[in-house]
Amino acid sequence: MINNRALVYINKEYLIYKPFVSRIEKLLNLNKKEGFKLKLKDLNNLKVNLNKKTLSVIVEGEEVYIKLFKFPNKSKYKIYEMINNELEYKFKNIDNIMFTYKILGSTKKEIDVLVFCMNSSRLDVLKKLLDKHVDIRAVYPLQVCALNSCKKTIEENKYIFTFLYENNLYFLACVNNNLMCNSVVENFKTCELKDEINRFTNKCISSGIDSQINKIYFLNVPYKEIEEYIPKKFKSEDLGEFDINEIGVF
Amino acid sequence: MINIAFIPKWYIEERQRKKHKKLKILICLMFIFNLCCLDYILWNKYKIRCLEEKIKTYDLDIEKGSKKEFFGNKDSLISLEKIIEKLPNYIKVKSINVEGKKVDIKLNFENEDKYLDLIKALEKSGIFNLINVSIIGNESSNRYIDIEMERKK
Repeated sequence: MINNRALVYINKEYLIYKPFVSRIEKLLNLNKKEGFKLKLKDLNNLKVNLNKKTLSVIVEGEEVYIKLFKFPNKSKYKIYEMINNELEYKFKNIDNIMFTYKILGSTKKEIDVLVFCMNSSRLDVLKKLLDKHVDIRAVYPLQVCALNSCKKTIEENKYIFTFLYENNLYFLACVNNNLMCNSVVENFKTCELKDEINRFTNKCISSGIDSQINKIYFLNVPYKEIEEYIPKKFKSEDLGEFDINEIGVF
Repeated sequence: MINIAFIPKWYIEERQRKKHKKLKILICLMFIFNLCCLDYILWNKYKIRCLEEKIKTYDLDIEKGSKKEFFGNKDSLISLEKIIEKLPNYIKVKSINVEGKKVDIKLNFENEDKYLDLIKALEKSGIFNLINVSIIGNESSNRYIDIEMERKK
């Protein structure tokens, strides 16, 4: 139901809750539903009744770990178990890790799977709210939402997308409409841009991207200040500013 | 569009738990329902067997050359049992035909009075609706009376 949808935005310090307003209600200015901002320390003072709401959650400041796995092509239904076992081997304790996967290609013997993992410890806040029968629709990382909002203006096949929001700098490397590499830099200062870009390109190469990437897009970054810090082999483009109220969650 | 959406593990497990719980309840209910159906079937079989045994104990004065065959339907057996109860001993029965609730009996016709008593008793009992009473045959010994009726309930 559209009436029961709400958006929750989670940060290190606070949580914003915003119910969806349909177009008709916007036209008629019937803004009866109100959102609120809640500091995570004050969670006990929750006033809104969250019964029977489906939440879409956006998490800020988390890095998405991306890895390409090759599995034997036995059956589609066992992929989930195989990924589970691989992650357990790597991370030892996977209680706090949530993952999804995308199948890139398959031959008779092998299947290529791209796995995305994210830490879910920030969402423990929602565990308390779940006692009241709240439905979680999906959890999205903020940088992916930002990328999707600019998808129409991007024409390249291989590029790096940088995004600055509240002193956190996000790097995303995309090849053929698949997210291949991601990193997050906290407390970013403009003078360190060159080092960070180089670090990120090295990370891309070590995580298996074949060819060099030549194009960078910048979103919500003071372009004129950082223009001098961009390494010369890149062609760069500025995508302007970012308004968090315009995230259309897909 | 890059479609990446996560769902936390504890949420998935809780969803599965609720699903399993509903499934368990459904299985229990279906099991109980099956038991009830089985009970009904067994009870019906027992009742038919009782009726058959009871009918066999009646001493019917049926003419030679006719067969005693009855089997099957619970409705027919109940009708048969009820009509046999009503027939008095002194009347010779030629044939009894029972189909479900409809009963068709043919009795040897000797004297009018006996049959009037029988028909009055059948009407009074309130079990049967008489449909047709007819006398077939000439005045010699081949006469018989044909009563068609239908069990009410």
